[in-house]
Amino acid sequence: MSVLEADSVELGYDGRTIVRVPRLAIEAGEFIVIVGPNGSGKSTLLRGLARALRPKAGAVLLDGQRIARLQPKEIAKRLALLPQSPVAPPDISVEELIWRGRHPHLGFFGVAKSVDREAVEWAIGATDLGALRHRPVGQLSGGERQRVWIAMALAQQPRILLLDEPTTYLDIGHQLEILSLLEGLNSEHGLTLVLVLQDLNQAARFARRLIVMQGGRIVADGPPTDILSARLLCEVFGVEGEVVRRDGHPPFVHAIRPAPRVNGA
Amino acid sequence: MAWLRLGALTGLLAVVMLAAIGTGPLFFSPAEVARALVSSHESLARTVVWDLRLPRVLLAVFVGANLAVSGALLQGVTRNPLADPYLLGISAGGVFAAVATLTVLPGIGPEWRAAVAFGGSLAAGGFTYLAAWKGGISPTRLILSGVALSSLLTAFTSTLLVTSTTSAQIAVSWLVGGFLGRGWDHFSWLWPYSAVGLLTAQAASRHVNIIVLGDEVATSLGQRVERVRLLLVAVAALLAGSAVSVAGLIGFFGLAVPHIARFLFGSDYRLVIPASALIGALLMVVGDTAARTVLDPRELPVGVLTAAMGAPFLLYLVRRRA
Repeated sequence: MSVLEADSVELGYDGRTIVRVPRLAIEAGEFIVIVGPNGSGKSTLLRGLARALRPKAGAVLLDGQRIARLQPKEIAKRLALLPQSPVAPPDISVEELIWRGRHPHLGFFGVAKSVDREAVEWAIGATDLGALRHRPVGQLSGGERQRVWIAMALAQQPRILLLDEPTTYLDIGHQLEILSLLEGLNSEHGLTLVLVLQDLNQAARFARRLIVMQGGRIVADGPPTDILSARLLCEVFGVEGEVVRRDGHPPFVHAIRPAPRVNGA
Repeated sequence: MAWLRLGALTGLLAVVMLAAIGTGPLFFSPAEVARALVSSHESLARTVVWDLRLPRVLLAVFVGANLAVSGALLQGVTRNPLADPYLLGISAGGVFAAVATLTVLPGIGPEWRAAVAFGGSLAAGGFTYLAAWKGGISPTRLILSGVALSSLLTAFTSTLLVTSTTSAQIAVSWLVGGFLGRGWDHFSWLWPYSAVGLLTAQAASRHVNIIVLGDEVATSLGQRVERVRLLLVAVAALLAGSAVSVAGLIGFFGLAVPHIARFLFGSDYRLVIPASALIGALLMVVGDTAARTVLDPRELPVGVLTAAMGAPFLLYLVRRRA
């Protein structure tokens, strides 16, 4: 059984439908990256999967159950979403923000138990934030702050983590740091990951399954090596380029110039 | 550590209340006040303390706490540091309802005025909420709807004031706010709403900590965001509406006090709520005591004094942060 599944889902805002997905099944332990040009519906799909956006039609299933019928806190113990640029009060400490990840586990009076403390300590350790735990989040660098948000989501102890462009605004070193951290969580702890990324080479390097979106539809879905091609670059991203393949390495996307526009396109 | 500071603030409030009860045309030392409070022996001190000053000080405590906590909740729920009961139309609704009954239906007795003002506040808060609803509430729409309604109600109130001659004096007292002539009647009306509102706010403070992280993160953390937002706005309207219904329009409190609380205690709402209540109470008692003594026998509007105290401090906070 798939851990997360979209069945004939239509998503959109106000009167407009932006995303149509007949079927998408996510299995436990997958590392999925969603790519696509701006406006192709990547974030909308992610929000729909995380019930931050209610589908206009169809259903999202979590562990085979309709997500709309589950208790919000029960969903939160299994599934977490990190939006693109979350904001926290700048003066609260790293540790305090991570503690807020325990919200779905606490009872009515919000009393913390030893399992809660263990979960927070584990999240701090997994993201290597021990030295920063008492610092106000407003004083952190972009990369450190992103690690704190990931730690907050980990303290929630979900089995599935959805992240919307977790590397935006970070320099290349910190981008790789965040993606390697996520890779470790996936391979060592079996955390199911679904990321939206912009950079095709990073997507090819980290994803074990690549989903390509265009105009609100999934147009390709599979291992990066099978999917990435010069034709896909041209048809989906409007880019003239080539995909370099070398044994033992992920495919490398070499974008050269915008593809000449076809009449009327 | 923070709880210790809250305790110190509570102690300070008790001392200031004792001093405020003793201050006036007749001065009593704290010991005399304490004696008058506990003894059943009839005396001038006992009459002045029990009948005049104690109810007024208690009213200032609850009105100050209500307005401050209402502002703190609204700032959290809208994620906007400028939100307060006035901005969301809640205060303007109460004042409009009170002035409208005074001028249009002067036959309605003063004992109904608080209830009418309270109803006006709640109705205005509800209207703002419904006007901002579009399959869900966005904080920005909530603020803009409130600003629109607030301007409209203030315009109506001004129209009533200039077109009517009856009771204009009493009507104006609603616009500037204060505790002149307020006593046990008003207190017995106010305290149940205060108690329910303040305790609910404290119990919900953990959820404010979640909603300030944004709708998406809050949803991801398992919060029923729309339900929590409705509850918090309703509690804020209850607190501010009941305060306006006994004391009229005391501006600035709901806006400034939560900032002072955050400056002293940080952004954790489990501390911001009680700190706002205590600081609001403290400043209102000091402000009202000054209002009735500085120009004695005339009274200054307490809102004027609280703004005079609060505005420089808020400016200091703004410059310090930048």
